[in-house]
Amino acid sequence: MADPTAEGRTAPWLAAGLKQGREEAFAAIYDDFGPRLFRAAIGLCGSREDAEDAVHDTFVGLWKTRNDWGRIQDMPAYLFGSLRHVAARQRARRARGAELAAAAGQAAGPGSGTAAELDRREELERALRLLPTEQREVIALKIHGGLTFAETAAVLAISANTAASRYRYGLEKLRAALGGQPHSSDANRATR
Amino acid sequence: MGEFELPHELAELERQLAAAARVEPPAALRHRILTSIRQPPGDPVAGATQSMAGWWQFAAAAAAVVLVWGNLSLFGAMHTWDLRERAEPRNVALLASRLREQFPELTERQAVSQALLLRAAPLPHVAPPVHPSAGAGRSPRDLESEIETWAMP
Repeated sequence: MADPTAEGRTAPWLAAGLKQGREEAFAAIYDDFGPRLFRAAIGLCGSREDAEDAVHDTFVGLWKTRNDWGRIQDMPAYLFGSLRHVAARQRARRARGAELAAAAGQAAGPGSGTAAELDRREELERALRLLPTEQREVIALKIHGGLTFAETAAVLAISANTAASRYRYGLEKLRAALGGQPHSSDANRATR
Repeated sequence: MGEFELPHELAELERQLAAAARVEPPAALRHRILTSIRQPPGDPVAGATQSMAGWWQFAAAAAAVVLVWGNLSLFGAMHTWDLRERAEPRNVALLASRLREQFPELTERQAVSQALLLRAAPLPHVAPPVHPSAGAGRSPRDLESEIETWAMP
């Protein structure tokens, strides 16, 4: 059996191991995608606690559906797509519970770095939470999840051009929210 | 699609966002996920509870159907028992009086006798009245015709 921690493991090997219910294959998938999913989840959910729950639910969902996987064609698309749905459900729950405002004022949690870095990180995350969902999703998947525009587009079921547009508009709004001047083209632009 | 060039200020913001996103998931998360998948699918206690709840729902529905059916049957039995009596009187005296209305030549005793016979069987019996002159001076054909008239309601 191949060492699951070895470099160069392939998606078919992981998918086959996952389908056979082998925990080491599942753990290898977590090790590969967990950190990126966690970062993207912070961008999507707005807090570390919610991000942990979202990543947990995403991987548990992957395990539960392992028998339905004949051959995983696109593991990143599946995982990030699943994460996106989990995060959307969390947002809906929060909206129903009128907790959105409380979450927006809540810091994402302590991280490593200097006080200035932590302040800047908190500021960025707070501004990110205020973006429209469509733009926040693209930014979270692209920057936090490390996906390309093509991969982001596949996860969101939109065209790559639309993903790139949303990304750019999102960055412009973010910059404006952080105190910079809004880009001239942002004045008449609605959420796209 | 290739990644496009961003203006300097947006590229700088993108770099800051990427730097801020350099966080690692807590080690406990991996353990939590692996612990979750080791649990058997579904809580057996919850499953059993759901199964029992389903059984009780079925039992309650079946009991309700039986109760409604029983009530309707009882109601029908209590309110329709006299329908047959109206169509075909079980009371011998009443039946005898109706027989005498139809056949005035019957004596009261004969009518009661016919009523008793009618009660004893589901189909009416044809019984010629016993008469001292029965058959006297009549041909069998006449008797047959007379019996046919008796059988007519």
